[in-house]
Amino acid sequence: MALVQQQAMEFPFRTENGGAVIHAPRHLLAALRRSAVSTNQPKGLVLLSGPPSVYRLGLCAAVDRALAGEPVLYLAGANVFDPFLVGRLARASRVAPAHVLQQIHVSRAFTCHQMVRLVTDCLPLALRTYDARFVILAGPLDTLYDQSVPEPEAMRLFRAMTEALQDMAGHGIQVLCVSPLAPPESGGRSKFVATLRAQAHRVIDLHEAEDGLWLQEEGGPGPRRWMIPRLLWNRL
Amino acid sequence: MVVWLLGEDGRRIRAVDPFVPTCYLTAPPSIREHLFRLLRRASCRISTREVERYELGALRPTPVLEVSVHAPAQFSSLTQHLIRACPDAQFFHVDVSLPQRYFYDRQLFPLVHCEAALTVEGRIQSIQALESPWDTDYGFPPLTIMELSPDSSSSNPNHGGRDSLVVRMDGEERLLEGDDADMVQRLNQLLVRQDPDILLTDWGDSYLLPRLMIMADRLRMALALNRDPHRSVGTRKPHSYFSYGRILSHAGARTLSGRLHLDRHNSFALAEMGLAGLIEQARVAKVDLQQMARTTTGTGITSMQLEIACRDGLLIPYRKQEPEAFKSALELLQTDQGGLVFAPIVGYHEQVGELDFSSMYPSIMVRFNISPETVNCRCCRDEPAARVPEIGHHTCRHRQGLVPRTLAPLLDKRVRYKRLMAAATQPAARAVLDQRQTALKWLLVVSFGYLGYKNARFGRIEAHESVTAYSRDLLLQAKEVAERQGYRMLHAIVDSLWLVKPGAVKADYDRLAQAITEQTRLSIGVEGLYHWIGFLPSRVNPLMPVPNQFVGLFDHGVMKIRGIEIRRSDAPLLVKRAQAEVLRCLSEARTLVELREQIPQALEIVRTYRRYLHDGHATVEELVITKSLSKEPQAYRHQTLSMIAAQELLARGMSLQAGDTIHYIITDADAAYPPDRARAVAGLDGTWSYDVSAYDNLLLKATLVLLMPLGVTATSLNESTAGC
Repeated sequence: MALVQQQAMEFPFRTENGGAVIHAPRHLLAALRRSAVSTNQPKGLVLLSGPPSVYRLGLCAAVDRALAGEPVLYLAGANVFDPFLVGRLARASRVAPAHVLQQIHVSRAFTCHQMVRLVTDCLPLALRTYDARFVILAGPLDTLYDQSVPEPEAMRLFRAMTEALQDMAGHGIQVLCVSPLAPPESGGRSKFVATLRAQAHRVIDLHEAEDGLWLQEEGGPGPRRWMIPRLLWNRL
Repeated sequence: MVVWLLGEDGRRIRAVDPFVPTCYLTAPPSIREHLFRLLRRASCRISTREVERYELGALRPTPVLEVSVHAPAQFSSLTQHLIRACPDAQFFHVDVSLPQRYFYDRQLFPLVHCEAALTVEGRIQSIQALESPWDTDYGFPPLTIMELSPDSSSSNPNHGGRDSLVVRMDGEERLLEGDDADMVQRLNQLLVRQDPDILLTDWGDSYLLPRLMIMADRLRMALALNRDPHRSVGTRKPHSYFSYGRILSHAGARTLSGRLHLDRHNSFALAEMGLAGLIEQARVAKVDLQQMARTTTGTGITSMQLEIACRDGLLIPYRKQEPEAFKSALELLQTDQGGLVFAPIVGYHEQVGELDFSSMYPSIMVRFNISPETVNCRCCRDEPAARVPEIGHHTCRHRQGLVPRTLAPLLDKRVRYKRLMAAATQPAARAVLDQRQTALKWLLVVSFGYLGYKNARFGRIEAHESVTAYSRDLLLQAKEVAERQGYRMLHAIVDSLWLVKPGAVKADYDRLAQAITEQTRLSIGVEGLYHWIGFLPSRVNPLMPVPNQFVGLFDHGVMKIRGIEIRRSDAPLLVKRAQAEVLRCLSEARTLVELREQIPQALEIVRTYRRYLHDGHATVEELVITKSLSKEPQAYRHQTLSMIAAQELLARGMSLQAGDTIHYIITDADAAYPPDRARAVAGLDGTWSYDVSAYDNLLLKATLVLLMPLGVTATSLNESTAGC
């Protein structure tokens, strides 16, 4: 059951270069819905990349789908799932937080071996169990940067994970990978993000500026930009 | 396996035990031939057989290939080669250290009193322990100890200092000075002549041994650090790691063969529990002493679990792969909570009692059978008694889990040590018992964290959640029992409660503890009665309470202090001293009325310290601030004082990594040119001066937090103590 009816939303303000200004949480959710994250778009692998703020944005996307009554699978690789943000976003949409929280199914992976097992073995079963079509992978690469795992092993695991993701995307599942930029000490593993980027059907880049956060989408029918004012972002 | 034995006649014997380690693997049929080809090509003797083994919690056995490696020295390289060559195979028992495997297999442990039969070539024919690791009345073997320290006044010789060396043995102290050749030659003579069993050093891992070895190599001189001439010195590089949300630095390691090298500045165990505690941990955990000294306590508890797994014939997975089961975010919100905290009532209170649950979390794990394989087992899901309070999990009522089996003997042994301590009449004996029980306490403390720790072999987040759920329930039960008996709760945090009841004496609190123990079936005791205790406010908002930040005076005269500068490693000594003196002044009071009467004296102390500071008398030792680098020095983006000091050290050619400790003083916190704001202590010459205002602020903050609940404000403190 859809808890909130989705409808087109016009953004009342525009930046000088034409980007839509997001003024309220509901605008933010609408923007995400209009982007590649939307289920109206062709299914596939979408990458949301940038500074660590991308995790909160990924959670916004999860809430948006849950508000629409759609079950969401959220795979947390960096222990970043914040149920309180989910609650605040639900309340901002005038929906009881418990309703939204029940729609999002979470599993946390603390090692890269767990993350890969989660994606390759557990996820297909969970998709069937919860009848879900939308998956968020928050920080799938974080665990692969663990220096205690030898680089060749990390490479092998990365390949196994991306193959499984491509396979899922090919079967009509929408996968949103939320990934911060590679840490400076990641060495040869820094190319994981670039590889994921090359494999993604669409990419949304996040840039932080003094006035707020800029979202820029590539790979769609045309490049799109949104701006989230700092004031709104800090209130989330 | 090389085993060093100390004979009853005092001889040190190098013996060899023909130990054959095994590992297990499963592989898809497509790569089995490839795998066997690799095994046939191995450069040592390998034997294999098909067997069935259980994984932890599995209902059915897994058919696996058992691979026995008849040359233990090649075990690690062979298994790593197999792992790389066959990524699709699953490996078990491949990364448990061989000394540990040997101890498990032979039922031995470090420094065990044992009986061995040897051939004339030193080959062990039989060896068995004559004592148990669970004995409490064992002695310390007659090992000889040589101490080595750098002769340096610097807090860390890696950051600068002189090059001479102090050697202590049998109560004698020698200073080795002169050029490098002299020093190496004289130390080598001492090592050969004295042949110590233990080399106990200060900064041996990061500074002394690496420098001495480089010097000996460069001069082509002998340096008998090892007793075993066939082996080279074991070397492990420095590294940084995360632990409990903090990044820590490990100074690397220099380990010896035939004797032990223990570095007092690179050992949590030695620092926290002394040599007796370190030996206790190594005995029960069956971890080699040199490793136990340098590793985390978690390695000890893991080793105990691995031993039980080996004994039960369970497979030990190479990498933990089982992720958390999916749960709704609502369930996550309900289950993923920590211990319960009741915020304190800010201010000073009198006649307060403190009750603490004894080893609460490990006791919960044992009593409620919480273990990765027992939580949400298939057999007990419909049993009401198996349900974990508040959350949807249940635990097995039929089979005792691996974690409770590990912890039960630890809990029991610690109780026995505590009883022995209470009965001990000699302070030295009591001190040893205290170190041993502290060693066990640390193993118990980390056992909870290891249930959820990412690299724990047998961790599982649902087990972690179950423990905290039980703890919340038990604390609530304790609160209800206390309130039924007329007590008022002032503060509670996870396993401790602070209660007050007018006129209640020790016997009343003992009766209350007994009632809570009966209700919860978990042991709780009276930590003590306070003449007064102050729950201190937040420094940001004085109306806000802060859990676990308090000072209290027990009725036996001892103070208990938590969460303030005096307990913090990063506070300057001068600030700690001022705070300690104010506390000493307050400790003369027995009641709240008397406490308020102490305020003028406390203010006088603050005034004296401020005057001392303003007059420029403070020394480097009193001003030094010690901080740990939270990231690699190059990764800092802001000009924090730590970063400025780190940059200075880097510019002087020192090497630093995340987790390293640096020492600096504030020279001019507001200087426009960042390097003028702080100076590293190692780089100080005669030209430095300190920022009076910055240290004055620290001093005022540290004393205000104690006096604010007594009515002293920031303004009144500043004005009434400013008289210079």
